[in-house]
Amino acid sequence: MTSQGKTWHRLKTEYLRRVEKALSSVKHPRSRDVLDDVSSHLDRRFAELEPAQQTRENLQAIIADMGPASDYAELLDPDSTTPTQKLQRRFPLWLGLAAIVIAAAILLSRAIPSKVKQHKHLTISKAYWFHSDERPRSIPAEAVPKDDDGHMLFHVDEWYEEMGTAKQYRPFLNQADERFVLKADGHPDVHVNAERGCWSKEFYIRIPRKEYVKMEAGVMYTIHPVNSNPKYRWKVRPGVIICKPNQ
Amino acid sequence: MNLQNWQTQLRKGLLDVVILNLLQHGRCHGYEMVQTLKQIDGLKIREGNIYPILARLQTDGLVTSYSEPSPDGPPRKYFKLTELGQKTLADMNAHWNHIIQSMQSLKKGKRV
Repeated sequence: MTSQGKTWHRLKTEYLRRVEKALSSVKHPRSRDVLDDVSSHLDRRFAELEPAQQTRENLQAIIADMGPASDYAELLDPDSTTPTQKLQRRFPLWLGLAAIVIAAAILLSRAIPSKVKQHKHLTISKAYWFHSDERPRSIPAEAVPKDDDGHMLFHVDEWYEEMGTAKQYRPFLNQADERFVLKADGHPDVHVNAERGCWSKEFYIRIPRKEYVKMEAGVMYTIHPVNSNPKYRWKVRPGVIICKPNQ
Repeated sequence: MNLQNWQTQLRKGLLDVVILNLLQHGRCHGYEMVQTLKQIDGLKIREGNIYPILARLQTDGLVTSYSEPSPDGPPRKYFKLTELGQKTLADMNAHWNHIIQSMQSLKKGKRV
């Protein structure tokens, strides 16, 4: 991840944390949806910046354009009071119950595993070219135009049936390193990126033009995730390879 | 009286009907809606504001959403009006037109 990428990641995470905190005051069933939508919106704004435009000032301007975190709760549930008003009204009760709640929370958190499911690793069990017959029919060919870049899909094994694609994979994608290296003995390494997200369990991987030309047709490349974040890791099943077809 | 505060409150009050009107022309994703509103004088909103409103409109059954793969990013979430949303929007627009007419009459010195 570049230094601009790291700065962006920090700014985005801080903002989402503030929004999440603001939304927690209204307990709306769609609070999580709002967070996901805001996260996607921020990703889109960042993706529109050319590398030269990714200055700290521009990144901060994107966050400023989103508006204050307190707006979210008010707009999601206009009937709710502000957190400050709630606190003032319930102060005596809050004070009396605080110690009990905190103690109970600590005990429960130790006794019961977290209910929020989150992928901490994803296992790649297949790698194939986007413009091939292996691509599921649900993914339209025109979704990725044919050009001089290489376009691949990684199929992953992990899937929570009760969660949608974005909800279960976005937290992982936001945290995990997007870089992979394709290796083959006697050939230069090829650097690729998981940069566009996924269609269900199929993750899009782009091989930039300058890397794609380094790949030799007919050579079997193994896949090596960079995995700079040890908490969110890609794994690769043994035997998974990708081979550039002869033109 | 702080004119800017009044304008902000007025804009916030109108956001629901503004968004429903945007969706009456077909499906739209949040980012697209923000970009459209940016170009309309007087309706520019803070970009994040659109998402809690869309979530609330979904809860109220006026709007529904679905995801589609996107060629230039993660799957994109589209929003569209439900049947109830279309009916409610028609009522809201009728009420809005009535308010405009009443205001015009008031400004001209007529009894409303």
